[in-house]
Amino acid sequence: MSWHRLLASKIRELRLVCCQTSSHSEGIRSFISKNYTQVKSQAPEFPFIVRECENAIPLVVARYDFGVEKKVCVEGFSEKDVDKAVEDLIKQADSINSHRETH
Amino acid sequence: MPNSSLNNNPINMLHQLKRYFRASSRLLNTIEVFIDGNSIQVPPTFTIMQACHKAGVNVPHFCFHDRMAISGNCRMCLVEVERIMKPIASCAYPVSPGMRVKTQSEMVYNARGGVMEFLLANHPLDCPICDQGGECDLQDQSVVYGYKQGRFLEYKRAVEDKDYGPLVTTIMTRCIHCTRCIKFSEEIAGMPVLGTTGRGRETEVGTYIGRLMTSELSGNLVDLCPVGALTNGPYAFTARPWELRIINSFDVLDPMTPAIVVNTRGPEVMRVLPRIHDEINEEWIHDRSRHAFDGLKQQRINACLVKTQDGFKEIDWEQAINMAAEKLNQVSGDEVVGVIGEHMDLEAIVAFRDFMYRLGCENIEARRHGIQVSADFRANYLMNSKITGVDESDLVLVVGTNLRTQHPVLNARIRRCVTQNDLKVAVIGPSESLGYDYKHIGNSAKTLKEILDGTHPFAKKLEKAKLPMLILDSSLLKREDGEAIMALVQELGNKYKLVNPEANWNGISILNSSVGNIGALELGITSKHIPGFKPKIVYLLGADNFRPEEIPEDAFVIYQGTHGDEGAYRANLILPGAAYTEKSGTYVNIDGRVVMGRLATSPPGQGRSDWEILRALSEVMGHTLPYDDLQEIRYRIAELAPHLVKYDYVEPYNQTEWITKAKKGDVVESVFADQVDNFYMIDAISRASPVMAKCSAAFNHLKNSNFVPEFPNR
Repeated sequence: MSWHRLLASKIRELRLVCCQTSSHSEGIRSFISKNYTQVKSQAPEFPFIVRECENAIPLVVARYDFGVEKKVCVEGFSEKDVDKAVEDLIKQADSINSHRETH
Repeated sequence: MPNSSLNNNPINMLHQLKRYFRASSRLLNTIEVFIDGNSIQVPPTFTIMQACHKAGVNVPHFCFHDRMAISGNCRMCLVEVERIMKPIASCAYPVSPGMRVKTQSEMVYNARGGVMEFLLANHPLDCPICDQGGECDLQDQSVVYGYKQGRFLEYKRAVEDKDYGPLVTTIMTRCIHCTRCIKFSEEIAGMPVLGTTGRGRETEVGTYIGRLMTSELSGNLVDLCPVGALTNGPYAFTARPWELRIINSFDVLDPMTPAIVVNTRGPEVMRVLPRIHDEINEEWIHDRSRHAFDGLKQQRINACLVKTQDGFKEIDWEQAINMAAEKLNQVSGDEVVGVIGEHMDLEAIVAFRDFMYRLGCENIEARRHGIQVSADFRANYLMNSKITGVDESDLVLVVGTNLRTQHPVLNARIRRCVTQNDLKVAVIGPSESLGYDYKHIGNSAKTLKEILDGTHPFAKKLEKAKLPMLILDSSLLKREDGEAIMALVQELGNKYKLVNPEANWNGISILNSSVGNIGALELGITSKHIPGFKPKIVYLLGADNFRPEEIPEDAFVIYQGTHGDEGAYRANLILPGAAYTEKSGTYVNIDGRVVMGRLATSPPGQGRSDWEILRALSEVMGHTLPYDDLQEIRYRIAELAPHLVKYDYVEPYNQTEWITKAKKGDVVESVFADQVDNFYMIDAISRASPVMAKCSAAFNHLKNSNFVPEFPNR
């Protein structure tokens, strides 16, 4: 997947919130299991924070430069959809980071 | 059938049998007994006192204690049982089917009255000057059972006071020989220095040869003593129980966060007592948790200070915030470093995190001295087996820590399991007296390697263990080969069922040294360590335990905290914060349990809650943080990690699959040294505490006199 390489250079932190058991978090859970080692092999220091909480609405939060955060609710998403959501968050990075710099 | 799973190893057999009995106790038949005429069903293993408690009948007692062996020597719990002529000590007498117990009969009253009369025959009538007055079991029960007049004309006996150290004051004349303190020192503290001498009227409780009670848990003796024989030394003659406000809180000086009661009178914390919490501290706390709070009244920073050529000058909040904002505005974000202190609450950490990120600063250091763990998954840095996992486990391997001084309360739990559950303990690292039998199997990472290869004899034991546990001190992870040690431990975990997905068990338990550290990791803060990087501004958020050489000499240091300690000494600008009893804050303990510390008093002088200071500073700098009160900041915490607002609860997490693999490397074969040099002086609060200074002087000279070899790099 293409975004693995871009991840560490574009965003500062990826945070994933999911439920341990609910079906609506299934996509994000398998996303984590599948992508974690790959992300870490490319960027060992990159914070890929996973936090579990019962009945929590699954979220993907990306943190850009200067503490700007974007979150996407991935409730009921399949693994592919989550993947796409992460990719979108990375795509937005350039515009968000440059927007802040002009401030 | 449990028999089918028994193998030939007698230890395993015994263990399984015990587990079998324990697990199936609910299935055993209950029997019917009658307490004061009311029928009640109880298991046949119950004592009469337990049955009475189940029936809601209170039986007075002095010597009986839930968590210790039954001695049955105070005789206060006498009850009448039908068809038995003599009154029965209910704490030590098992129930039998159809037993009819009377707890309110005339015979019972007379018997208890007689016992009380004998107890009072030698007990001094000094309640007005006794510290136990108002919370004394003997006082309370003599109101019910005591006769209005004594019949003894002899003088009361007098007993010489003993020296138990600066924490426990003894007035041994008041002792009623319940032997709770003796049982505590033997069974809980694992330090059998107390005992009785003499017989009958001449009986005395004391240390046999004038030794001090050097246990880290010695303060609990005071809670156990039902009369005023053992009283709280530093608290002596300062307050009466009815003057005190009770605030249920959690302690942060111990990363286990034991449940405590903070007693305050007016604006002052008068004392700290433990609260019963079976999943954390049972009902014990160590002496630093209990007595170090007087450090909150010493060396306090109560105003904003700025360093000038003639020392520190007092300024007001507006000037201080403006100065901090000006300094921070002068540099770019990546020239700033933030350091999070040991006792920081989640609210302060989240405000600090948001603030620093808004400045463009990514260098927030929380992993004290660079502990190399990843914050990605919770299983990477928490005690995965949980504190209660000690009760389940059958083999514990302690790596690189002296549990007695690092985690005395956890050590007491392990000791209980060693005696009750036949838990086996092995230690790699410092071989100090822990209060129970353990096997010392090595001193360095070499032993871990040997176990992994299978060449070490311990490997066989580990292989056979059902739910083994490996307790790893986080101080090992800050060594140069920290990550390699972690990798070694993870390999061990996979080889030896330390990580067992079938049983949902992860025995790799990392003991973090401070709540601030764990809180930061919970919020996902890990710093990138850049060698040779020289920050221009260092923001110390209550951080006192750092190496001075970590901060460049020309850096501008902002210290936000409570005590004039290392951090304030180095600081250019000091902002007064609030200590753990002075703010409402949430903390995460080594288990991952989120606990809420409650506000007991207000901070002295101009001190403010730490998150409020950061919120004000952010507003002045034009990066206003989007929360104005505690509710909103907790909502923000929930946004980052929803489990952090579930109080007094351990959120389950995927602890067997989601673990960050540590990078393998070469381990250095240096000795795992004891990290705690002086148990009584660990953080800024305990270093400021006069009581801890006294303890340090009284107890530490003993450390080198009991033939314990010194470790080379201690």
